[in-house]
Amino acid sequence: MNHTINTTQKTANATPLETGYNFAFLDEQTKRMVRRATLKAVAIPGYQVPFASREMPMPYGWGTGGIQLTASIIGQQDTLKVTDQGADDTTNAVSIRSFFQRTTGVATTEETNKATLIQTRHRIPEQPLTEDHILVYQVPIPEPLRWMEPRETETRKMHAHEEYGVMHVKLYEDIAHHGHIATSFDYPVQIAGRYIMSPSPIPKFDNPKMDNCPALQIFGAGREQRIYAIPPYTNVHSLDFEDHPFSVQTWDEVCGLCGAEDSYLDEIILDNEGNRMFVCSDSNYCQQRLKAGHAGAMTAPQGQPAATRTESNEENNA
Amino acid sequence: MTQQILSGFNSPVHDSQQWYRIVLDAMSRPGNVCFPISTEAFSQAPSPCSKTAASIALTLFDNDTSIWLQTSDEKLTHWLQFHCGCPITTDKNAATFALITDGNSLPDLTQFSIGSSEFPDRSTTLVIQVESVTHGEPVEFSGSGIATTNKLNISGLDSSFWETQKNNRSLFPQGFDTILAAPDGVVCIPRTTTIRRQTPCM
Repeated sequence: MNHTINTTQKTANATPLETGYNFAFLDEQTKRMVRRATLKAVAIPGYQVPFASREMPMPYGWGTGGIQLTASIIGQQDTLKVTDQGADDTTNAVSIRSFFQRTTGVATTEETNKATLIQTRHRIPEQPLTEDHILVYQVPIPEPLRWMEPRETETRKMHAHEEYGVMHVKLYEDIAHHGHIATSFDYPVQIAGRYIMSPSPIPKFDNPKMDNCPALQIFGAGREQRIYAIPPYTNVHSLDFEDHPFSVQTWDEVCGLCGAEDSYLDEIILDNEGNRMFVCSDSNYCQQRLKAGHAGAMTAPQGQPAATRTESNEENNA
Repeated sequence: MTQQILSGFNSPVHDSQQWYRIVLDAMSRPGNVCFPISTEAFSQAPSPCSKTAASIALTLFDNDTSIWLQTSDEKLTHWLQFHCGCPITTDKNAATFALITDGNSLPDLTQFSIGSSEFPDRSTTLVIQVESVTHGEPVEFSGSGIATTNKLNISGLDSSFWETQKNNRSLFPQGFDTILAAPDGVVCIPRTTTIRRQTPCM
């Protein structure tokens, strides 16, 4: 099987390139350091590789880990997609996309199937990923044991000795308090039967998408200076108990715009009367479904914005 | 006394990015033969390195990485020091990378670092030059990164490697990782890969 990288240039975007910066902002020495850490992360699935995270021209918490990963991976032949909570048009996604447009000039897209490199904050796209994708996650707290054990020296030993009982105790305490495992995001997973890993604050709805995924998944935590990865086709097990098996969120509603029954839904409050609607959190998935002719209860008719259709709001809430 | 040093990448930023993606792709999918369409990254590789091994060196080596060299070839040493600024070490256990230019006569691989149980990432990455990753002895890979199994053919690699890799696999999460560099492509064997040889051991 030959895997080749196409060197043909894509049409560059209209944003002018910043001058005075290296391609993709980082200097070559930093890229090599990140690249070496990433290779080790891929070789040891789920293990957090320390790296010398750099200061980036944005604050910690805005995806500095993900940006350093993307910057060290991205090339002229790539098409970049950036999403924040599933949406391509929110502040974090727009500013990171614009950062890479200005420092690399690569083509960008909002369409999951056209992207080769996807940087994401807190969601995995609804459209199944393929071998042609690399998914880069932004991670705030990479250490899943941190909430139980604040000392890095201790959590490191716990990982070394595969001493993960405390994580099961935490999930058990959830069951004791709430009757079920109440953790709904950043739900801990075990990679290839060895390391317990934080999947970053994605909803547990997305956990099953990580298992045996054809795409390479890489996680970057800038402030905490860790890189970790899940190679393609690797077993990702969401921790659970025999009598409390892992399950994902479900909704009674469907997406108000596209009628999707299978996607992660955001609840949106519409007015002071408490009217609400549910929409796909993955904006591109929703758009693709609308284009394909699917419609939900609150889909705007041609040329009319959704908000003016009060009668359909009432229908939905009846 | 003057001596001539061969040039490095024509376009250091983009060539190293492309070669990194080749290695990343190969490391993510052990057994896949990865190679860039454009191999004209630089005109002449320093003997005894192939362009593939030399490109991997330019992509990953720098002043943060200690390199163990199989050959004491002065020209290659100078070339690496000039382009990568990398310290050369004779201590196998301290090497970040080992550049093994002749896959047919391997050094004792068990002396390279396998990292510690707390820092398994601090292990040596072996870059082994082989004759081909598309022809030769049939082997079958399985493990992380591989959907079921991956069959490929390798020549120019001493058969003791497979036994060493078997032991290396059993050390997980510790262990070394291997990059096979051949003129016809790159194949990676991370510590997670299980090998099944299709011909019986002689």
